[in-house]
Amino acid sequence: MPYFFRYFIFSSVAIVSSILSVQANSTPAVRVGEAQPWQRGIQKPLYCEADAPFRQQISSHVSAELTWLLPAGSRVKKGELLAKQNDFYLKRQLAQLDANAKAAHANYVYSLNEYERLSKLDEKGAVSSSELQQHKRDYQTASEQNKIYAEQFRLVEHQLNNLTHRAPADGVVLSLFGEPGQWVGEGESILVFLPADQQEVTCRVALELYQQFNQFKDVKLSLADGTELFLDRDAGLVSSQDQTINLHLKFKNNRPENFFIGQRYVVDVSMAASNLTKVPYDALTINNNEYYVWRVGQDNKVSKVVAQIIDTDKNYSVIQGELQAGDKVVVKGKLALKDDTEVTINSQVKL
Amino acid sequence: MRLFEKYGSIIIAFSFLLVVLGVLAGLKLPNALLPKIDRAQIAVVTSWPGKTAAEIEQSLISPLERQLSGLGQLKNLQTNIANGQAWTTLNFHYQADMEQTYMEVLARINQVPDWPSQVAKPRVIDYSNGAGSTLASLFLYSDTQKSQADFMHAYRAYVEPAMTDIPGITNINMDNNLLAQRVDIEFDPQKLTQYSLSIDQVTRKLQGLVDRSGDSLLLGSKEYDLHFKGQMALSELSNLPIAVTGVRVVRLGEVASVHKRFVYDWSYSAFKGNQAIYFYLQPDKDINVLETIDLIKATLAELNEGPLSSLDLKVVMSRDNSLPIKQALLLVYGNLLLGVLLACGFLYYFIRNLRVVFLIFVSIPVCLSLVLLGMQLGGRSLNLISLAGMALSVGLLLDASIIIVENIQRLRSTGLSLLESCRQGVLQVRAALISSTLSSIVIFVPIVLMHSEVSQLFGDLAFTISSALVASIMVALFLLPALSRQLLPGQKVVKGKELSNKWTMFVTAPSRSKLQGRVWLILAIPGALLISWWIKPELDLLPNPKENIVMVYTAFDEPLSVTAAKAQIGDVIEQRIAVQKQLGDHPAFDIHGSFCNSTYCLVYFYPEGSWDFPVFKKWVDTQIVQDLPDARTYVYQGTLLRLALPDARTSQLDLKGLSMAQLQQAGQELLAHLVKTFPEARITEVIPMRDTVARVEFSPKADALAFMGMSQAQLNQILVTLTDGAYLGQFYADSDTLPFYLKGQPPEHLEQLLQTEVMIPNHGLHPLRSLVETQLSLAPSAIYRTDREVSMSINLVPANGQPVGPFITQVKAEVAAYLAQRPNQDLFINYRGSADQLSGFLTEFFQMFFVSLLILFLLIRVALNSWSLALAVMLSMPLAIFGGMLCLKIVDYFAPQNLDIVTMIGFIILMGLVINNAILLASQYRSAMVSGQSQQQAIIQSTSYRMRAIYMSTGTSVFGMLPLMLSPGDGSEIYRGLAAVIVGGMSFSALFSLGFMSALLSLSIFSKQSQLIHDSETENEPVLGN
Repeated sequence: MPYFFRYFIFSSVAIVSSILSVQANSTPAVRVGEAQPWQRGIQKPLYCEADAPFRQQISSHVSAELTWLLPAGSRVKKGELLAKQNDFYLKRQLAQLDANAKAAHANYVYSLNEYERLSKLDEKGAVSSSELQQHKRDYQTASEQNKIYAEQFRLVEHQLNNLTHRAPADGVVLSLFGEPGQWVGEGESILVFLPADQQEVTCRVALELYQQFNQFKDVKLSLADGTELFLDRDAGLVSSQDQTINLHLKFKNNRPENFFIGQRYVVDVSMAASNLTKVPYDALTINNNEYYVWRVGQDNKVSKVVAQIIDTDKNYSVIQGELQAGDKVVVKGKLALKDDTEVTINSQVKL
Repeated sequence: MRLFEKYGSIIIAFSFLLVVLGVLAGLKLPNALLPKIDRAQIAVVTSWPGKTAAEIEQSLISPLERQLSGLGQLKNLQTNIANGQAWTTLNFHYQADMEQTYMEVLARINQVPDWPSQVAKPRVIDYSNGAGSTLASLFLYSDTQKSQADFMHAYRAYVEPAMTDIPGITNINMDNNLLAQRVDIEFDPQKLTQYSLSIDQVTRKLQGLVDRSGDSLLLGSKEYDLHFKGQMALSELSNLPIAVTGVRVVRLGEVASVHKRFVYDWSYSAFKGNQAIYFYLQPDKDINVLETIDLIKATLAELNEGPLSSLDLKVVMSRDNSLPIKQALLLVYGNLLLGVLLACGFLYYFIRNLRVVFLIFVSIPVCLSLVLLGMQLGGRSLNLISLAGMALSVGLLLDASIIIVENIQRLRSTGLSLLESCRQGVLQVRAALISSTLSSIVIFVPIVLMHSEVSQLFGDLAFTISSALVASIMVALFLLPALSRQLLPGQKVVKGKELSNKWTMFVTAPSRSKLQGRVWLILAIPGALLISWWIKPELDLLPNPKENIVMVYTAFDEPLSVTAAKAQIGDVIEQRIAVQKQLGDHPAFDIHGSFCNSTYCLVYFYPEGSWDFPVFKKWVDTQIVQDLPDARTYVYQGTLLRLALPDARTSQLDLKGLSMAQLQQAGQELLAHLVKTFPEARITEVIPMRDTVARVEFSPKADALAFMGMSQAQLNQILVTLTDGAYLGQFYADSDTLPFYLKGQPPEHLEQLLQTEVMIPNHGLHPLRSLVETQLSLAPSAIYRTDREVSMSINLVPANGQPVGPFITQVKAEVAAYLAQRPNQDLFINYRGSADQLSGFLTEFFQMFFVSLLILFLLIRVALNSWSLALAVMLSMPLAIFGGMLCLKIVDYFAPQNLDIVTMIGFIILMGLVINNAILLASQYRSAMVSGQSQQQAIIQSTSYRMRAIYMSTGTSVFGMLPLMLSPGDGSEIYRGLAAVIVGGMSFSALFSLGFMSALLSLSIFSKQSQLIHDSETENEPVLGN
């Protein structure tokens, strides 16, 4: 700091000019900027993460040894094998049931024939009624026994069929509960499978914002890459701790590639609003908690336009006010202005 | 008194030796523009970069002022608090022991409670120690693009060591481009949230990166010191683990980058349009400025030819400050020489004998040599004031020699031998000479005793003149008789210019006509006083000598960032200057430089050759600074005294007692009124009287914070960390201990900052928006406190050429009238600065003036042994005062001349000088009366006896000082008024006091002199003349 100028700095750190000494020139020179269009409406970011409403559990139908299963994280197409259990015991059981069924069938056929023969004899009065009833019971029992075996067979057959677990849909193996060689009891989980089509985006949103955006009716939701979403449902419950609500968003079309559960996403929510323009920061005048800009009209007269700051950008602020894109706004020389002051526009500093 | 008979040759040889020693002493004496002025002032500079004025006021300044306010001898204190820095100025009474006060200030600063650890202790600048002065200001510049780091390295590696090697430099001030650095660990807030890390967690990991030690361990026959490593090189910091998630180690490098940066934003500086850094050198006490500047120049040449040339950098002096000093001093030397020649020429006119004139002339080199030796012993410097004092004394110191030589010649003409003439000649006048010289010296006692800051200027004046007078007595009593014996034998006594009896009768005519006498008395006493008062020039604090520099000060209506100031103002001005240089259509100037900070830009030009300020100003106004956006420009010429007394023309008006907003309102209205009333004056705010600094206010959402279990302090800590940075401590890094900060990457805009998510323990991630409300608002750019109270102050600088005194009087009257219309009981008004200094000085001056008069009166009473004659002598003063005023008025007609304090001192000196004429006359009158002559005869005899002596001594004095008054060069404004007063006063006194005294002495009250005096009178012989 030059010593010989220090008496400015020390005794009058800043002889900043007073407004008052800027005598109100009849046509003050101003520099202007242009209000630019802002199409994105009122926009706010939501902090969300990829989620799924639920995960699919793949469980064992029977107590059986796991012989093979896909590692966690495997992405599979629908129908692809996920896990396989040992079928030896079930097959043996099935064969046994088959044999039993056959024996039962033979018994049934015999009982039926015997009953029919006795029925004919009964017409002739050669068989006692009780004997006939006994044979009837035998054949009906054999018939039911046959059905029992058939059912047991179907059951075991079903269990056998379900020893191979296949992907119910395109998706990914999330986690495993067993390992090959391990016996898995009936009903126990083998793995967790995440079907891709179930994925959604869950956002925790301040209740205030949710209400400000009209409970997200008629809003546009999109990821940074432009992927569009829609509000599927809200949690219907607000956290009493921080007054936030969970919103579940679904993709309108295809979900993005490499969409990972748990991945954080910023979803932009925007709501259409009128009278939005972006103006240079220097155009804003701050006065007692009120913001306004000076618009230069066709007649080079300025008028004060009260504005609300909606958003900010690196070089511009987005404001809502009676301003049209293309309007000229004063960025330099604002101090001397009053409503209806006529101004001279200096486009550039002349060299 | 036989000394000169016995040791005549020795005395002559010794005198020659004295001259040689005096010349040597003169060569060794430090040269300066003005005498060293000790300012009883201490400044305390508190810096806290990145903090607002309000926070600095609350956290630092308020407790600091409370501690400092109890200092002894403290007159007042002011603090100007801007964003990032505060200046507290402590003004002490002149009598304060500043060394002790300085220690006490340091002690009290250390006792300020709750001083934040990251804020450095304030810097204390002791102006009483000469810390305020500047030896030279320099630019390190390059005409190719260089980074700040390039400048810093070149400065640190070459310039700083070279400068500190020069003896006489105590400090290099780099306030414009502070080199202090800090280490920023700059994290990406998104990355932090990615790892679910809270800011607090990371901060804790980064604290205490220092090596520690712990005693020693005895192993075998050796003691091993225990050293616990904690310190990390900056390059290693990125590997520091800051968290573990699962099996993954998160290292600092993954979330943050580490880099050094400058703590303070550099102001923009440019030299001849080239990118530059600016610094200035502060001198040690009592150095030879010109010699040191020569050393600096040599060092600069070495640097530029050596290491800096390979770096494509150059270091230059912004301007050679020694040039104006040299020019001003040369002018005084010239005036001194010319004065000597003129005085000797005048003597020759009267004496018509070259040998006798030479004899008298000899006293000049011998006396001045004695003065120089005395200055050497007294630790004084050769400056405008001391040199002007020497020039002023040239005419005075001849008086004693003239009297002695004339007396010797007179005695010789009566037939006495040379030896006897010398013996008698000295004896006869010895007592009279000593007493008249004493009365001239005694007049300086009150001047030396003055206490105000500016009165230090007169110390050298008093010293040189009084020592010259003492020396002249010694020379006249010892050297001259000795020399006379060598030079005058065989010389025929040549009668010099005689004054005719007719002239005597003419000047004594008022004593013979009652009417004429009355007219004379009325004109010379009340008339002279009244007219003097009437024609008195305007009061001023100090003369205002102009300098060859044009300053262009552009104040911004609203504070700008340094980058914007550079782009919108600094660069535009430089480009326009470049265009003008290409066109070649501009007033000639060699050097120009510019500085910009957030509130103003300053450009200076050094015009070349003969130039005209109004033309230059017009060129700047129309070609350089026209239509600059939201800024106002002042173009003015620099003054020479800025180098010594920077704020001699600035006064301050403080408004206090109301709330900030009310003060702003009241201040704005008063300022507008004053600006309108005094359109030519420079009336400005000390700090802006309205809120000019745009800020974003973050208001915590208290309920939301409460639910999340956070305090406002925790939220603020998060916000500070995300923006300015959280202070981690001072750690050693890359051979220096630097402050470490953890800070967020700077957001591009506000929304981005508000969207930043932060991890809140037990509540997960939340965007800042959910914790705070924001609003853009305006805040004061600075806070000004006087005597621990918030105030609004207005700087008052009179228009170019207008003196300070009447301006302040007008302002005070205007302010009083203005406030009378708007009574507000809580509003207080206070004046400081040169207004205060001037009124302080005036009070003291009038006290001293009357003390001087009293002393003189008593001295005269003792010398004349008569109250009435003493009174008569005193009554001759108004005539001299009138002469002084008249001469000032005439000078003012050709060049602006105010009644500044240097000029006022001229009146006191004048009193001591003119009184001699009246004393000579009155004492001769008394002798004549005692010898029984009639009143009329006594008047005629005393006049005829003393007239020639009075004319000769006045003539030599006037001619000796005439060049000082008439010289038009740089710096002559400082002493012109003083010379004018003495020249005018003495001339007037010589011309008219004879007539006046004869009129006065013809009054009946003086006819009783013979009866009143009973003592035997030894001295009835005229000293001069026949």
